[in-house]
Amino acid sequence: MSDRQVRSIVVVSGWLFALGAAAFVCWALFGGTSGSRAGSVGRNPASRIPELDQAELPSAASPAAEESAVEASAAASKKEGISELPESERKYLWEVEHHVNLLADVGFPKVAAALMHADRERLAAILAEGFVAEVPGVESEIHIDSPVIHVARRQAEDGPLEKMDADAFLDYLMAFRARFPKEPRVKLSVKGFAPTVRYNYDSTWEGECLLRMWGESQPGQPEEVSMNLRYRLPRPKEELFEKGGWLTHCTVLKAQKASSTHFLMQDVAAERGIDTSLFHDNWILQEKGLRPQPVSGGAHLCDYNRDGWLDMLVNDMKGVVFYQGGPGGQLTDVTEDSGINAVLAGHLSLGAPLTTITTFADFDNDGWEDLLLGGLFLRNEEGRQFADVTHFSNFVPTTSATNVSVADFDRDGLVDIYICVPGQSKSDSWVEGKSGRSHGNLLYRNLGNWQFENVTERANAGGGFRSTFTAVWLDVNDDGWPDVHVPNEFGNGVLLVNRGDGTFSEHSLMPYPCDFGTMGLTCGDFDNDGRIDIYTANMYSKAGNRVIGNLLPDAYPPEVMAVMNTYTVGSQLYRNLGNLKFERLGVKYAVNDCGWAYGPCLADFDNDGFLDIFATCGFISRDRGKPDG
Amino acid sequence: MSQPYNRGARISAPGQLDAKLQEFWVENPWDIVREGHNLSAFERNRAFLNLRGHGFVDISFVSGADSDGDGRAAVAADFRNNGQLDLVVRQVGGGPILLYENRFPPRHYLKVSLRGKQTNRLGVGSRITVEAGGLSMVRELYPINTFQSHAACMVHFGLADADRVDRLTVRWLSGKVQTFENLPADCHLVIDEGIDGPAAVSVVTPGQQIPP
Repeated sequence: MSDRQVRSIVVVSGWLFALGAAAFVCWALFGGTSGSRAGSVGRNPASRIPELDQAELPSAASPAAEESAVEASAAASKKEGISELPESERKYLWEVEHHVNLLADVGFPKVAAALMHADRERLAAILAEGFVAEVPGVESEIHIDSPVIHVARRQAEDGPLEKMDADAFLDYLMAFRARFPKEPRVKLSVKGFAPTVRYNYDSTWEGECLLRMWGESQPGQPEEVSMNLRYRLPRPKEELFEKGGWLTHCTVLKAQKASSTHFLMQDVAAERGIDTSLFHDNWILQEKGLRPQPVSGGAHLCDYNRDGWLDMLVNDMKGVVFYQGGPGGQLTDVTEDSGINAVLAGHLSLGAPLTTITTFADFDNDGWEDLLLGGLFLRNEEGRQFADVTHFSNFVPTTSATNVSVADFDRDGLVDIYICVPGQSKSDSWVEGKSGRSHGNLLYRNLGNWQFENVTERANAGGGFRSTFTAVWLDVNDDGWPDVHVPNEFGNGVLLVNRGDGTFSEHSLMPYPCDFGTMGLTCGDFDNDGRIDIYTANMYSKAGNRVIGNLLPDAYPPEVMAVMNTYTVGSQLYRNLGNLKFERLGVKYAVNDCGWAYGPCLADFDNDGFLDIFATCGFISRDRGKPDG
Repeated sequence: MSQPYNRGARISAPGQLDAKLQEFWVENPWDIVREGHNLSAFERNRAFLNLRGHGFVDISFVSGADSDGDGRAAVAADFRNNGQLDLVVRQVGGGPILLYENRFPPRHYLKVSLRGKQTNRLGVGSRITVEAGGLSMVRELYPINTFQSHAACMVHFGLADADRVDRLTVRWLSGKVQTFENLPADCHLVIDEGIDGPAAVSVVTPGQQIPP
């Protein structure tokens, strides 16, 4: 997010903004105007919560039954008086966010500038008379088994706080600043903020923020300081910030310094043989005034010729490029030689391939990875070429798929296909958690010989009309049968546990609302306890958290608040405790606050035997000079 | 927020906007991008290093992989066959594809592919456990698709300082279990469901075709 916070959407619909945009993705992706019921309302949440208390959820009702349930509960919710936020509350949230903008745009930039220039005097001028600070006294060295990375952290939770006056606190801050011989970049982001007396804007204000300083301590040596601060000041006003002496209290909740002898990852796409101009980039097209796209394509890995060097297919709005890997990781464009171009040319009448359903998998079980590319089947001819076998297959992909994943769910020796389908309607309820009532995910059983049978209904594998952007297979209960976790763009996902008889039972990761805005996910045993854990990539928004945090606790009925409180918390790490029980660790481990998160990756980058996390995020960036939510 | 039951609701501004602060208002969230605004813009991709299963530490900046482009998917892959997992990042804006070379200090590793017989040929859905250097690691063989992108059909183990593998167990999707002891590290092994005993394990030499 940019430094400037916006009142915009944020004020009255901070979370709505965030989510709205989540929905926007599939909306824009799939042509938009399929909204079914204008002005519709969701089901009565009161009727929904009890089922969340059960580990095993009932399967989705038939569309007709659900339709009538929706209408009945719409009437019920009106009766219960669950409606709009009162005007006075909306105005309060609006006012608070305006003060956030003042602080973020006028007040905090002064702190950032003083720190950047290492100007102790200017920093001192910001502190009020009688300023008091508290900082964590105990430094816990974070042990990283690496000769190149050093991280140290002090946290309020680790021990008693040390009180400091203005002078001592300035010394403390300047010591962090001194880690950067040259001017670092400095940024303060407002997390929570509100007057200490509700509705009284002239009372003392309190909030939290994240202060980051980052740069190179020596050329090529990255250094970063990040501090979570709680602070107090009088009502934010431009004149006050100009005059100085406004910061009255500051508590350091967490202070971390991280450094490395060199940048640990370096982009070498061009050197390895990738011509990035072949692929869609919103930032380049934006300069020409073109509308941004929400999604452009992915990357799919295989070893199609089984030579031990990994190959990669990049699918993109602008076309498909297949790279063959070789010594040193060099990639050579073999889209033509591999026969992929010819296959695509044979299907030109289809228009651009629906490349959202793309995966390598050995569908014919001959040991050579075949390619499902936008509904076309390409058989791998022993690593020499791909041949079009689409016409041999009875598989007809749905036109609205977002993704595909493979697993041999019935353990018959052939890999099966699981297709993810997004929601179809933007007029549904935010709190209801489902999207559209006519599409669910699809499970196709591989019968061999390129024949597939849609077994979704029989297997109970549809995932309950969630809006789904991906799904991951894992053996979640260690019983030898592949299970699948189906996330949800608009609420809790569902864990489909394989019963071993060709059917799945539906389970909830937690017995209460826990995820929202899940755009991607992955899994792996992060703590090496032998159980596979799940990491969901959700939406995080500082603005959304402020607005929801500033609602009255009873602004909506408890079950509605419980859902709303998940909206902008961000990504979650679910530690698998066994017996289909999980512990939610995203916030505790601070791997939640990525942003608008998409497909993440769990991989052991430092080869220490423990899986690390890489998280992608950011939705649509248009103008660095302009505000954001 | 005033309409939690209706994604399509349009809500008018409840007060004045401060133009100096560039405040703006969009009545329905679906219109934000359409009206040309940023939406969760310039967020940095993030890297979190695992603290031996007891939490994570944010090394986004020192990793150098914290692009603030609009990231969509990340896939790790050992393109160089040196045991270091490089990282492919797909973005819809801000550089459509980034290929990060892993420059962490090298440590020991093991890569494993499978050749199923009763299990599907590439062993999808099988579970591999490696014990080395006092650590036991369980990994499942799935080409996990996190968002329109998937990893390779093999399993990677970081072995830290262990230069041998004490024990490797494959629990094939078929149910068959094979255990091997004292295997080499720093290589790519293929394990065959159809062969019993140590002969089931062979070492891959990059550039030479791995029999299907």
